[in-house]
Amino acid sequence: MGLFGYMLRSRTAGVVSSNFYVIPGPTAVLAWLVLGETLTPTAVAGFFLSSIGVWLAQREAPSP
Amino acid sequence: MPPRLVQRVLVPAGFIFLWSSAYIVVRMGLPDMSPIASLALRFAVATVVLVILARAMGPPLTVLGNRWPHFAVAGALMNGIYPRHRLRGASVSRGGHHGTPRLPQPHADGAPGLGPARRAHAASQWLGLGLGVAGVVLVVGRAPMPGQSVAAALLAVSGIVAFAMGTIYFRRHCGSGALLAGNAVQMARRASSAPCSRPPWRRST
Repeated sequence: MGLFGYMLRSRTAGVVSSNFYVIPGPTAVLAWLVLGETLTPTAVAGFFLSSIGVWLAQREAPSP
Repeated sequence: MPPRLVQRVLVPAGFIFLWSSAYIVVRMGLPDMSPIASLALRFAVATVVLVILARAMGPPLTVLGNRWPHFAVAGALMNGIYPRHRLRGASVSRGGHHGTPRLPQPHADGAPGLGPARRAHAASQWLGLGLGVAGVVLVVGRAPMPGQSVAAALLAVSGIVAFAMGTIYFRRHCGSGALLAGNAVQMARRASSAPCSRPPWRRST
């Protein structure tokens, strides 16, 4: 949360919060690597899609 | 190192990695430690680390002065309710589910008139948030979400609303000043309340 607070200092709340959309993807990848959980191609596609979405959400973010 | 690289890439990447790996740590520790104990231990360790870092790198903790209650309030709002749902999820769900209870939060934080600067998202930003939701839905797939009950749903919604309020509160009242010391206050507040985070649907078992 320290990093979350650091980001909130320079960017808007909505833009910073958009980072949460990426979290399920890396979590699924880490769970596959470490815990041996199933990682489907659909999940990988979703990871890339959410990454693009977050990049788009942050790209033209106005600085307060 | 260019400040823009740190602010736009390294810090978000570190944030995403820490949140992603939290699920792995909780799942790996489940056989030996309850999720509640894991949560309390994590917050306690984080408090100690932040206090040490604040003492070593930043101004003294007293720099917060009478502003420390703002950090405590932000910590309570941002993690007073949400960890209950998160703990339940980490206990019973797959990795991809981690973080999904926060799905509507960026939309709530960025809704017109709600942001700290009362600034609405641009159209491309809304498109990006929409793609973010679609991507998460693909990651989660059609597997059942944990805690599919009215109580769990209400708790998840309450957690999202509280976190959004906490985010905005932090932005308004804690945005400037000693971040490390302020986060130590937040973590201490969470560590003290973690034992109360037992999901209500598990109290009878």
